[in-house]
Amino acid sequence: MIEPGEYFVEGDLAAAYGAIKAGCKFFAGYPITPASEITQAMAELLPQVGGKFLQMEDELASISAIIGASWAGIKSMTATSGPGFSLMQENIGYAAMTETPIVVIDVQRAGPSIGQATRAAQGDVMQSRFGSHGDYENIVLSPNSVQEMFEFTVKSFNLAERYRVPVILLSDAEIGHMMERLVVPESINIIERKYAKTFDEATKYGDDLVPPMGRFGDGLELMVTGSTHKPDGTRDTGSPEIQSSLVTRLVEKINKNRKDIEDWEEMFTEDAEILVISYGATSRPAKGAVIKAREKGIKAGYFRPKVLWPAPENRMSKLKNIKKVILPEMSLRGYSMEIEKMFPGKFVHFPKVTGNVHTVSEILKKIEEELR
Amino acid sequence: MITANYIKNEYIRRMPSAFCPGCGDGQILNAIARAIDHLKLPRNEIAAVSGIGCSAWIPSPYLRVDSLHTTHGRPIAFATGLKVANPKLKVLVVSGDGDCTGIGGNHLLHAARSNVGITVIMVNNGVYAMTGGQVAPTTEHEYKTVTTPYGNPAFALNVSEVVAAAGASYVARWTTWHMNQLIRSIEKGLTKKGFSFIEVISQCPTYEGRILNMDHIQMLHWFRDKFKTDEKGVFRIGEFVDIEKPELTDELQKIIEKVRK
Amino acid sequence: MIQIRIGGWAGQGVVLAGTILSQTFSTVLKKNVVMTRSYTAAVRSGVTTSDIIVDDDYIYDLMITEPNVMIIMYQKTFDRYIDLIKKSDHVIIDSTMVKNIPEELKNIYKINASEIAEKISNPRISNMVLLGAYAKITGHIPIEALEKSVRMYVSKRFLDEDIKAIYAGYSL
Repeated sequence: MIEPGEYFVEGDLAAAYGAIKAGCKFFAGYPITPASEITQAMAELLPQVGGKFLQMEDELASISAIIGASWAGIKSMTATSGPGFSLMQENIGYAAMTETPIVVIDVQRAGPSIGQATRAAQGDVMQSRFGSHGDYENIVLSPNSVQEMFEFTVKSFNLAERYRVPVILLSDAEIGHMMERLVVPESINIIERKYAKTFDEATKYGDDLVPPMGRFGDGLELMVTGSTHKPDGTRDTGSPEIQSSLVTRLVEKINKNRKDIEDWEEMFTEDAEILVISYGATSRPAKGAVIKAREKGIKAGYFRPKVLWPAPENRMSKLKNIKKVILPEMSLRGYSMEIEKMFPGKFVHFPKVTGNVHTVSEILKKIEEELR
Repeated sequence: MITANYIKNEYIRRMPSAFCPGCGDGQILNAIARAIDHLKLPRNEIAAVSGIGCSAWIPSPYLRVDSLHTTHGRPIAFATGLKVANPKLKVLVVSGDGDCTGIGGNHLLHAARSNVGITVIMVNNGVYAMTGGQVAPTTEHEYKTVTTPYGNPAFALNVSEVVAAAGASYVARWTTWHMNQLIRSIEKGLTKKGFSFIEVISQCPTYEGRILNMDHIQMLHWFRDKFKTDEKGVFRIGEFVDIEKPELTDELQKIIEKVRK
Repeated sequence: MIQIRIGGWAGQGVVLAGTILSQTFSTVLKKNVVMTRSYTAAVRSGVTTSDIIVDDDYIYDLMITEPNVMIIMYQKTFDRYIDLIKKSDHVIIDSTMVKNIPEELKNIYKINASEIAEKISNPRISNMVLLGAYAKITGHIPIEALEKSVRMYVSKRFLDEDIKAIYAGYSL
C-alpha cells in the first residue's frame, strides 16, 4: 500500500498518502473545493489499511468526530477549505483546550465567504493561528510542492502527537491541485503518542509541559472538558488560578518548544541587502526571482518559513544588514502583520489577489524597483 | 441488595451537586447508573459524551466512566467519531433538548439516519435552562419565556417522532415520574446494536416551573397525570421504535473486510 | 524550459490530456514537470485549462508566461487566450471547434480533431488526437513515450481507441 517509489500525483493526493503513511486510521470530512480530492482519496485508501472513513453532515461534525476518535487512541484527520475551515474554528479551540492531537488540512481558496472556489489564496494565515476564541497556540505548516504535501502531512501528525495540539496543514488551491513528482521514501520517521497508564499519570507533565494522554476504554475514568479544568480534568470555572495556569501552559508548551518546532529554508541571507520572505505556493517564484536577481548582481536573499506558526522569529531577528524585506503573497493581509513586526521600517508588502500565484518576473521586477 | 449507597459508591463521582433542588437531572443520573449496574457492564467499556447545558453535567463529571464534555450541540458528532474509532465502547450521549435539537439538531438526524450504535438520552425540560430559561425548540406554542415574553410564536418539535422517522433502531419517551420504565429503556438502548434514542421529559423547577407555575412535586404529578402510553394522556409516552437493522460500525468493518480480501 | 497550455471547455477532457502529457514528461522522460489546472466550479461549463511546465532544472514559475505551445479545443477559450496565442511558438487547434481565427495569425496548426475522433469512436477523444498531433508538430516527445503514458493512465475500456487516436493525430 503506497509502496516506496516515484509517483506523479496532485498535492491533495500526496497529502492523503502522507496521512496513510503517518498511521492515520480515521478521517471525517465534508466535500469542498479544492480539498475534496483529499477526502475522496481517504475514502478509498483508509479501508485498505483497516482504517475508517466517514463523510459527515457538515464540517462542524467532521472536526467533532476526529476529536472523538483521537480520544479513542486513533490518529485522525480532516480536510477542508475556507468556508469549512471557518466552521471548524470552535472545535479547533476545543482540541487546543483539551490537548487533543488532530490534523486539519486547509487547502486555501480565495475568499472572503464563498469567494473563488477553484482559485488559490493565502488569506487564512492569521485565522489558522487565531481563528478560535481565547488564548491558545497551535502549529501551522506551509508546503510549497507536491512532495511537501506528503512530507508535511506526516510531520503534522508527528507534531500533533508530540505536543498534543491541533496541527494545521495550510496549503492552497495551487499546491493542492498541482501535479508533480512525488517520491515516497523507504523509511519514514513516525512519532507515536505517549499514553498515560494511570489516571494520575495523565494529570502530570514534565519540562516540556505536555502530559501523557489517556485513552478512552483503558479504565482511567478520564474527565475531558473544554471548560476550564484542573490538571485532573475536573471543571473549575471560577478559579482565577486554574484558568491562568491552564491557559498559560497551553501557550507556553508551544513557546517553550519553539526550537524543536520552528522550521525554515534560507538562501543568500548572509550578505543579503534585500530579502524576499515567502511561503507556500508563492515561495516557488520568490526563490526563482532571488536566483535571477543574484545572476544580475543584486544582493538579494530568500527566506521561507516552512512552519508559519510558531514563526521563526529568533532566526529572523538575527538577519542583519537587510535594508528591505519584500513579502509577496496571495493576500492583502496574509502573513504581513508578523513580517512587518519583525522588520519595522523595512517592510514592503507585495500582495496579489487575482486567484493566481505571482510569477518570477513579477517578483524580480519588484526587487529591482525597491532597490532604486 | 442494590441500595442507593451502593449505586452512589460504585457509579457516582463524589462531588458537590451542581443541580438545582428538585431538578430531574439527579434522577436521570440514578437511572443511568442503575441501568449500567443491571447490565453488569464494566465501567471501562462505557464512554459518556455530553455537550453544553444542565444535563451535560449528568455524565460529566458525575458518572464514573470516561467522559468527554464537548462543545454546544456537538456531542453526537464527537460520540460518532469515538464509536467508529473503538466500536467496542458503549457510547452514551446525554444531551439537553436545546443542545440536541436546536444547535445540534442536524447531527441527531444524521446519527439516526446512519444508525451508528450509540445511545442518546435527551433530557427535555422544554427550555434553555443553563442560560436562564430562554425558549427552546421543544417549548410549547404560546408559552412565555425570557425570550418569548409575549408567548412563543412557534411550535414545539416532537423529537421522538422525528428521530423515529430518521431511521433510529430504538426510540422511547418517558418522564422522570416513570423511573422503572426509563431504566429499562436505557438498558435496552445500551444493548441495542443500532442508534437508540431515549427522550426523558424532566422537571426544571427553576425555569420551566416558573412558566408552568408549578414546583417540582407538582410537575412530577403533572407528568403522572398527563403523560400516558395510550390516548388517555395529553402527551404520549412509551416505546415508539424497537427494530433490528444494520449498524454503521458493523457496515464499516464489512467494507474493510471486503476491500482487504 | 517548455511551457504548454491546453485549453478548452469543461467536459472536453482538458485535464485528462494535461495529466497524460505531463506524465509523459515526468514519469516516462524523467523531466521536472509542474501541471496546474484552472476551471470553474461547474462540471460541464466554463473555460478549463491545463498548464504544463517542463524543465531539466527545478521549476520555480508555476504560471505560464511565455508559452511555447497552446493547444486549444474551444472557440471561447481561443478568444480568451488570444494574447498568449499570439506569443506562442506553436498553436494547435481543434478546427472542428475553433473556426473564427484572425487572419493575421500564421502560426496555427488546424487539426480537425473532433471529426477524426468521431470516425475512430467518439468526438470526446479529440483530446488524444491533439496530443498525437502535438508530438508530431513539436518533436518534444517521442510518440512511443506518449503511448506509454496513455497505457499507464487510461482504463482498459478506453485504451484501444485512445491509442488509435494519438496515432491518428501523429500521422497527420
